[in-house]
Amino acid sequence: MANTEKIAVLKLIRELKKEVQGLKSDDANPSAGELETVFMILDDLEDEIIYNALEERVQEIENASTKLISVITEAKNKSAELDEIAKKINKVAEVLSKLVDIASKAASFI
Amino acid sequence: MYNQKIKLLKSKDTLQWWFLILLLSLTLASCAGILTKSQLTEIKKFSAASNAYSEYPGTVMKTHAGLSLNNQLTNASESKNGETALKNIYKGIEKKNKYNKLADRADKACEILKSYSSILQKLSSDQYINDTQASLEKLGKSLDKSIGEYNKLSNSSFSTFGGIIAATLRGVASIYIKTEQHKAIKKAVNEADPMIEDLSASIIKLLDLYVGEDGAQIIQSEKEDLENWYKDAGHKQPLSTTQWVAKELEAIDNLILLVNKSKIAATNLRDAHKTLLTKIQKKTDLKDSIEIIEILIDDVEAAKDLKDKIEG
Repeated sequence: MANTEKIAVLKLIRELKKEVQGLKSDDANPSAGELETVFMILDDLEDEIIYNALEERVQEIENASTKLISVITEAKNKSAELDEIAKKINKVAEVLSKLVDIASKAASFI
Repeated sequence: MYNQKIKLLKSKDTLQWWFLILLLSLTLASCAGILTKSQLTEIKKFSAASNAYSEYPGTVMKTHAGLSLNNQLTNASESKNGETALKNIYKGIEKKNKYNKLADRADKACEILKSYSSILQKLSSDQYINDTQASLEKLGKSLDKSIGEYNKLSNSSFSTFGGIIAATLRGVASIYIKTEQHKAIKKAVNEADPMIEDLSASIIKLLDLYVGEDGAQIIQSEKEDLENWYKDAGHKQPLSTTQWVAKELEAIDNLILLVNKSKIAATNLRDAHKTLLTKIQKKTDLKDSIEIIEILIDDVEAAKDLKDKIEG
C-alpha cells in the first residue's frame, strides 16, 4: 500500500473510531458491548498501520547509522596510530634518558 | 592576549625562544596544516550538539508509548464487562512494550552520533602530545644531570641545555601529531557529511509521523482519542479523572513541542556538520594563519613550561 493510501485508510479508521466511541459510551445503547469489540478491531488496525510506518522509519535511521560506522572505525584506527606515535616518542625519550644516564655514570668512573 | 604572549616570549631567553619558534615555523611550513582555533571550536560545538541530540528521537517515541498505554486504560475504564476491560489493559501493556522496543532501536541507531562526536573530540584533543610530556621531561633532566656531572669532573662550565632539547622535541612532535590529527579529522568529516545528512533526514521523517506534514499525525490522534473519550465518558467520572486528563493533555502539548524542536535540532545538526566541513576544508587564509601562529605560540608556551620544570 502506498503512503497516501495508508494515510487515507488511517483517516477513515479514525473517523469510524470517533463514531463508535460516541455510540459505545451511550449506556442506553443495547449494542454497546458489540460496539466495544468493533472499536478494539479498529484500534488494532490503526495500531498496525502506525507501527509499520514507524518501523520503516526506524529501519531507515538504522541504515543511515550503519554507514557511519565505517567512518568511525577508520577514525578510531587513526587515533590508535597517534597513540602509537606518542608511545614511540616516549620509548625513544626513555632510551635516550637511559643512555645519557649510563654515559654519565661511565664518565664518573674514568 | 596575542600581544601578552609575544611579550612573554620576548622577556626571557629571547634568542633561544625565537630559535624554537623559527624551528617550529619551518616544520609548520612543511606540513599540510594543523587545526585552527575556530576549527577546534566548531568541532566542540558540533560534538556537544550531537551528544545531546542523540536521545531526542527515543524520548519522543517512549513518551508516545506511555500515552498509548494510557489511552488504552481509558478504554478499559468504560468497558461493559471485566473481561473486555482486562483485555484492554493487556493490549495497552503490549502496545507500550512494542513501541518501547522500537524506541530502543532508534536510540541505539542514534547513539552512533555520540560515537562520532567522541572520536572527533579525541582526534582534536591534546591528549596524544600530552602523553609524551613525562618522558621528554625525564630526558631533559637526565641531560642536565649529566652535563652537571661533566662540569664537575672536568672543571668546565657548560650551561645546561636539557630543557631546550626536551622543549624542542616536544614542539616538533606536537606539530607532527597535530598535522596528522588535521588530516584524520578532515577525512572523517568529509566522508561522514553525506551520512550525517541521511541520518538527520531519516530522523526528521520519523518525527514527521508524530507531528507534521506526513498525515499520520500520531500524537494529534492520541490527543483526539483522549478528548473524545473524556467528552463521551470520562467527564462522568470523579474529579481526579478530570485532573488526570488535564495533566495528560498538557503532556501531549509538551510532546508536540518536543517533536517540533527535535526536528529543528536535526536540521541544525546537519547544518552544523556542513559548517564544520566547510571550515575544515577551507584553505588557510591570513586569519587562519594568525590562528595557527597562536596555536604555535601555545605550543611554545607549553614547551617552555616543560623547560622551566626541568630547570627547576
